[in-house]
Amino acid sequence: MNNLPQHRSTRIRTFVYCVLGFHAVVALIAPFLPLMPTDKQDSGAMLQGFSSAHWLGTDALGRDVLSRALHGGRPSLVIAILATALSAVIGIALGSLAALAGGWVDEALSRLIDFLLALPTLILLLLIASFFGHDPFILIVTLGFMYAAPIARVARASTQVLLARDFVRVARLQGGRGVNILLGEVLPNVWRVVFTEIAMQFTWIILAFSSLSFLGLGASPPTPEWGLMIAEARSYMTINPTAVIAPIVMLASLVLAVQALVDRE
Amino acid sequence: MQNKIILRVFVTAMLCGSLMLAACGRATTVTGVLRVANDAGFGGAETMDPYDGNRTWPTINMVFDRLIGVDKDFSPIPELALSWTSNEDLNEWTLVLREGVVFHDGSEFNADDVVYSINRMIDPEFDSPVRAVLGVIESVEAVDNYTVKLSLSTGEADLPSLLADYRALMTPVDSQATIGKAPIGTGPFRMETFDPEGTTVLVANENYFFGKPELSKIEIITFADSQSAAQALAGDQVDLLLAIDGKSSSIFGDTSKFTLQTIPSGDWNAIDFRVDRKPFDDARVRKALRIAADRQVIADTVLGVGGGVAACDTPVWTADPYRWDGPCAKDTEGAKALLAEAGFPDGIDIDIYTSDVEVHMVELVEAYQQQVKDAGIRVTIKMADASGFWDDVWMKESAFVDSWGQRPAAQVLNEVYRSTAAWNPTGQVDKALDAMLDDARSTKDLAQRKQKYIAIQQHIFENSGIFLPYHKTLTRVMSSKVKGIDPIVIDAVRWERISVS
Amino acid sequence: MQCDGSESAFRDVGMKNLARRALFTIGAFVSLAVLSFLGIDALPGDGCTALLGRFGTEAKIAECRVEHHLNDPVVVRLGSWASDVVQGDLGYSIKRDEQVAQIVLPRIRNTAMLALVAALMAFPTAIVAGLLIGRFPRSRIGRAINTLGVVAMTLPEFVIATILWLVFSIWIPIFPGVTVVPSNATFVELLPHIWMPALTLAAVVFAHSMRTMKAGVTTIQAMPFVESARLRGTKERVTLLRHILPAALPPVVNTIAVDAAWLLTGTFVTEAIFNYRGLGRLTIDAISDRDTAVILPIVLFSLGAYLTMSLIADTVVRLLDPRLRQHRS
Repeated sequence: MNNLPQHRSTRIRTFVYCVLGFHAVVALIAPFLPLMPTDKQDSGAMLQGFSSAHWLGTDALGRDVLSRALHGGRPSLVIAILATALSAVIGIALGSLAALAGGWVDEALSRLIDFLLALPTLILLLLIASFFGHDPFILIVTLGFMYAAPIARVARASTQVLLARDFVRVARLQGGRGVNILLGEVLPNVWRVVFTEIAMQFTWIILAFSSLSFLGLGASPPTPEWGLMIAEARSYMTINPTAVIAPIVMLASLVLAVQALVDRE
Repeated sequence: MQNKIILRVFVTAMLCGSLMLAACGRATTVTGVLRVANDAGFGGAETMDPYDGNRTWPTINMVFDRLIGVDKDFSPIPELALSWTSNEDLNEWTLVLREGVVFHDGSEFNADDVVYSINRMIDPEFDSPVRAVLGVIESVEAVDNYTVKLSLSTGEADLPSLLADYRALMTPVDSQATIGKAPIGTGPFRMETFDPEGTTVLVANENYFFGKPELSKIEIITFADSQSAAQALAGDQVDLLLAIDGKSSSIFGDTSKFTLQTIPSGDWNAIDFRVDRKPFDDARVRKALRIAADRQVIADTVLGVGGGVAACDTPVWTADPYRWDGPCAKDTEGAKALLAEAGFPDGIDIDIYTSDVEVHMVELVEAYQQQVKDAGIRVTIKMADASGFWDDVWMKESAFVDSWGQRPAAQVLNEVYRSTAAWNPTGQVDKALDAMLDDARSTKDLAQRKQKYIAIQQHIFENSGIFLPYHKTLTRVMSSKVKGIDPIVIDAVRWERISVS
Repeated sequence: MQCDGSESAFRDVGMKNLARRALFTIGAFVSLAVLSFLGIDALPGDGCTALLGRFGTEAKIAECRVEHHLNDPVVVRLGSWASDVVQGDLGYSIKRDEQVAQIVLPRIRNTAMLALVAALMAFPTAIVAGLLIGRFPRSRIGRAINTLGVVAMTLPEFVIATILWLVFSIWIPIFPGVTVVPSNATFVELLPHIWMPALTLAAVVFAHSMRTMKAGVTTIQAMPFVESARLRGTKERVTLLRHILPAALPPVVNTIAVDAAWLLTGTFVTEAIFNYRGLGRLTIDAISDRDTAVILPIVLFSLGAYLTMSLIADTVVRLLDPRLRQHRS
């Protein structure tokens, strides 16, 4: 984007913030909006197109697509935010600890990170979702651990770079303890680099969860969830396309906006 | 300038490349071959043994024949048996077999094969699902090469209809060990390759006793879910979908390409509650769960308006002479009262398992969940994976969706509701019902028999753990090239008369 | 190059590093394999419950477990499984009554073919596109390709697959929409059905390597050696191919390795949508059947694919990049 004229880049940035703001606001206030209940069925109005009663039409059970699309981000966002937070904590702790401690601790932790990276993410998710059911807590913990490895790698690398810098050396020479150095000097400075990686992991987690839902192993019906909505509406794509397009647009705009936000290359 | 040229050349090259790929990708169709889409409900454990629980349907009906078939009006017609008579008490039946019929391996079909086949169906050790239908047969003996005598434990007026069950197929003597993967039958098609997770290939049996099949080949292609099967028909990759969701039938509205058939049928969906688990062991809870829903609304929501006929938990369908059309309007207050009486004054929380293994099975639970909400019944929907649903979930969880094909009254009541039936999905043991079933089946007079079957259906409505809201009006769709499939249930389809132009 | 003594010394050190790296890969694989065995073993359900399904009474399951030695201590079973695997026997699926190798190998072949076609579609085009877009950042076509690639990268596969299916199987019916050939079909039979899933996968991974390439080219163009080549009057084409391309390639190799591993192991959704009979479909089936005998080799294959790909990438990067060879030594 650095090749674009300045004003254009700013305009895009503003647009990205607007999209993110829209998603945040909608996710928070959707239950208070004057929308139809997401599970209200209507056997007299199934798979209808645009109408004044249903702005985006209805799905195969006569439920309001607009209402479901606006509610549909809530399950993914809750799970993705919690899982990302968990993976950020684990990732930063592992990564910076490895860099700070050095020696055999670094070696062991690095190998652990390599292990985690080698795990086939989706297979593990499928296994866990299939064997332990749709418990959101288990899902969050699993996602949190699996997506911690890339964050740990970035945190370790940037901490190492930082440790070589003068002000950290000074803090060490002044007799600062590891934890203090970590919290006082390292974290505030690695945060920016690590944040980019965390935001990327956030989008992968959103995509992973919606893929799980699409495969029938994430959210359970009748929960409005974008991946699940797309899976349900696919059969009727040529009858009422909005039922599949609406969740696609919502999901894609959120993921694209987060990607654009962190994409500074 | 140069940069743009390079990029343009690059883009053009990519476009040309993809067009060339496209040229290789065109689907080809062959005449004389029927491609049938099938589901993968048993996840690789499918077998061609018609008496096994994992039998793969409708393939078995293309390879094997029954003694007695069904006509378009569901009356019994000769297949491998030419005629049948019974004694006065209806407990001894004599069948005369067709002569000169040969199996695919060239050996001749005779009474020994019938004795062998029926003995396997009723073997208590093997406990075939067919035993629930034909368990009434106590013994079978060959009178001569082409006559068999069946002795029943009780009178059964409708034995010919029961023998027309889609699994009561005739297999050659001593075939048990090999029949699962290398079946030998007398049917219109013989097995070439058996690959239940991929494509099963059948070729025409030139010596078929009803005449040489029109088709040279049938391919049964397995699809992971109903959506990809519909995709395949839309893309001319299969010719026949046995059942589609009526609501999506407008996708196949182009009559020059597709033939749509709507067939009133006895197929039904249900939600089963295991009576051996809490809280469904309480008859009041079961009844509350069943009367809290409006059946017609569920039928309309799930199947589309006109897609189904409401049923009062009776598996006996509208065209059956024994059908009971009892009153079963939605009764929210009654349901609440029953629940309060059973110790759930604040309503009840239940989990229901479902899966995309067949169309309608997920929507049914979603519609049910909505319907029973106001009676204080809070349903949590549990999704299970489609493949392996029948093995892993069905009859195992406490509450789950169910799906059955059309069967005559005497059969479906014995196969699904009798205490000892292998496929009694709720595990309900009801000796009173068993006695009523025995009494009804051995009653000679039709009017009296009908009264008794109606009483049975009323008894079921009071006690059963099966919530059965509707019988489906089937929507079958096929390529317009396919000819010879009448708008009747698939068990009555004569596969040898089908052609593809 | 070969006759230069100092160069070959660096090389030796490089090879020593690689040997260590390979040893680590093998060690990681073995320990992860053991962990997987123990982990999958700890999950509820086994081959017998999978086989007997709804007919599984306690007595029948117990009998089946005795027959298949499932009651032995876990260490004993791990040992016999490991020795079988070392001898090339992947085990036996009780549920499907078939050798696991016969079930898994054709699927691995199908997935590998799909991955190969997708890789051939995505990686060369991505490298060329990245090179050109990096070199000519103001081109409109280039920007359009870039945007399209990024959008495809961020969309879930089922969305891309749905769109592609709608466009190429329904509106302009040139590709078959779903796979209808058996898992053991020949390559020629399978080929027409590969395009759609391969296109989907290629769309997902295309932007990764394209953008890495583009970023590399952008950085390298600003470097003095490129500038001096230009000042020497070297032709544009030569600068691009001789100077910029080799320098920008190493980071792309890493991206490609990660994506290639994903193509081999992460294609569940795409395979499900197109009914493609590869490893992804089998994995979902095996997991829902609780068929642990089949799940295990799939997990091992995934681990192996990832570890091998990153080992290959490391090796290639070392061979490609003289700077890295020197710095690391």
